[in-house]
Amino acid sequence: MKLLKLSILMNYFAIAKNSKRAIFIINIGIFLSIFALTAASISIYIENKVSNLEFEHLENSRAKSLSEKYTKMVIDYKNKIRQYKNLEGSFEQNLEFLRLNQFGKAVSSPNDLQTYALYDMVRDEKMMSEFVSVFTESEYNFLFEYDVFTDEEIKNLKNIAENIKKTFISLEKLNPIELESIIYQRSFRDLGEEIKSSISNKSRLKYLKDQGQFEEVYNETINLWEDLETLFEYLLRYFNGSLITVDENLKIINEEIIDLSNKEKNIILLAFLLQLLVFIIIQFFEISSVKIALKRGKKL
Amino acid sequence: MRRGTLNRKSLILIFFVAFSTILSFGFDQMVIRTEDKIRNLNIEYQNINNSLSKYETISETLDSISMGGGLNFTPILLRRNLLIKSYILNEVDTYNFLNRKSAEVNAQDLGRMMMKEIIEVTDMTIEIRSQYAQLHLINEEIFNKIGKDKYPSLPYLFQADFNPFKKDRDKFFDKNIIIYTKLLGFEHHWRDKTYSELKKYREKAIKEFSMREWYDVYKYKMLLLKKIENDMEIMDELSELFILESDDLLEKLNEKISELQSSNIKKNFYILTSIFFQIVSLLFLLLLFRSFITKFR
Repeated sequence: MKLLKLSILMNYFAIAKNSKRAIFIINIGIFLSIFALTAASISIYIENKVSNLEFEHLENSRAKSLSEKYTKMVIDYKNKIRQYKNLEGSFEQNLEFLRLNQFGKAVSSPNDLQTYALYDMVRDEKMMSEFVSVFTESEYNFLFEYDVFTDEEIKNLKNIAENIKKTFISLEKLNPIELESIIYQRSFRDLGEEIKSSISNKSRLKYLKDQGQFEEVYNETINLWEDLETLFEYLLRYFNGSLITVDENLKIINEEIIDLSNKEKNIILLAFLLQLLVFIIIQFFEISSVKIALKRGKKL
Repeated sequence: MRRGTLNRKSLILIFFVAFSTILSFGFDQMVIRTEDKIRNLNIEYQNINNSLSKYETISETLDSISMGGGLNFTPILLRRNLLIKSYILNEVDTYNFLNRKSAEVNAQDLGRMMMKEIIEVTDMTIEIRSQYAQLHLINEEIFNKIGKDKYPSLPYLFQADFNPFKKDRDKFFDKNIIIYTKLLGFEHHWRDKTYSELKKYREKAIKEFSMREWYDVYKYKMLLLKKIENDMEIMDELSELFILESDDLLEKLNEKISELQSSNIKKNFYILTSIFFQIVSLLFLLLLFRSFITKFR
């Protein structure tokens, strides 16, 4: 079924009075549709730009959430090291307190103090070594990306990385099975021998940490904890630096998006005004020409 | 030209009207399809996000159990030899180190301390088992999926063994180690007995155990600590596996976010393009009407 018969419409337009009114309405329609086209084109263009910014925003947001995750991890590791250091420190103090008399001296040995700390470190050695190699193996250090450290701190960090590397080389030489055996497989005879050895030990003035077969590597390990704590401190500052940078980037992107939206509104308004002006001018000339044509028609 | 017929210009305009309308309709369809795709992507995103938060929670809980265990067991491991050495020294004391009434009283005091320590180890293991078992029970399917092949003992970590250390019996003076297991007070051994009977058994042990038996208790404690350490290691490695899985899921989640983002951009583009062609179609329609009017004027 035909909804619109063109012939009826044509007949309607054929009447001069109708045509004058219709042409005015159609001109308004054309004006509005051209304005709508301009507005749609501007929207497509601006929308495209905003989409690119949104992608950037997304990438920065991801970087931010990763940095936050790693910050939490670093804090956890730092706390773990601190807690372990405290436990070890208290135990050493208790042993030294016990060693103030002959009984304490007899029941405590360098192995009692040193082996568990070393064993614990050697067990994690592979993981820790991999982690530390990130800072020591390559010339490029990502920690310096955000410019959060002074020259002195950079120098200090390089020294720390070197020290850590050296300690890991010493730790690699230890035999974890031997350490495990000293901790978990002490026979009755072993314990007796240790007591005898402690009683007959003449080095009264030496602390337990400065005695025994693991003396050197144990003291290096104690320093390693300090160095790792400092390294984690640097890492924490790096992540804070990255968070600040990402936040600034996000702020800039947000401002750009708002700015583009405002520009979009203003451009559309300007386009409307310009087109309105053009429409009025065209309309003026068209109405004038129609009037002239009508006058000519009357004269004829 | 006869009135009512269409000229070439009108036909071209009608063609443009039709073409723009078809394009507008086509882009409308694209919007519908993209919307459908976004809906599916959203569902996938939600599923991945749920799995990710589940995996992260499990890994964090495992780490927290491990850290708690580490903090509890490390002091015991550090002072592991002090009491047994003191006991041995008391037995062979030629220096009168200990300031008590007699070697017997000293021995009983030291025995009580050793017993307290091994019970402490057992109690802490029970606590860890309870925390781990709850986590395992709630997430059994995920645990099996992630770690069952690599660690068949997953369901039994930190579980009490009522007849333990079968391979290490030769390291004990008394091979019948149930006499030490009974000291720990498991329900299994004291099912029909009262608490006072357990207390009496412990007091009797403190009075009657000799140096050999206390050494066995020490050995028992160390083997128990070794077993806990092994289980802790499995738990830590399991946590690592969950972290690796989480990293994979995070990667997938990021991909989905990018897909969602790009689909949303496409959808906006399609909507705008569809509107654009609707307007173009309207414009050509108006131009068509205008051409009719100018033709008949």
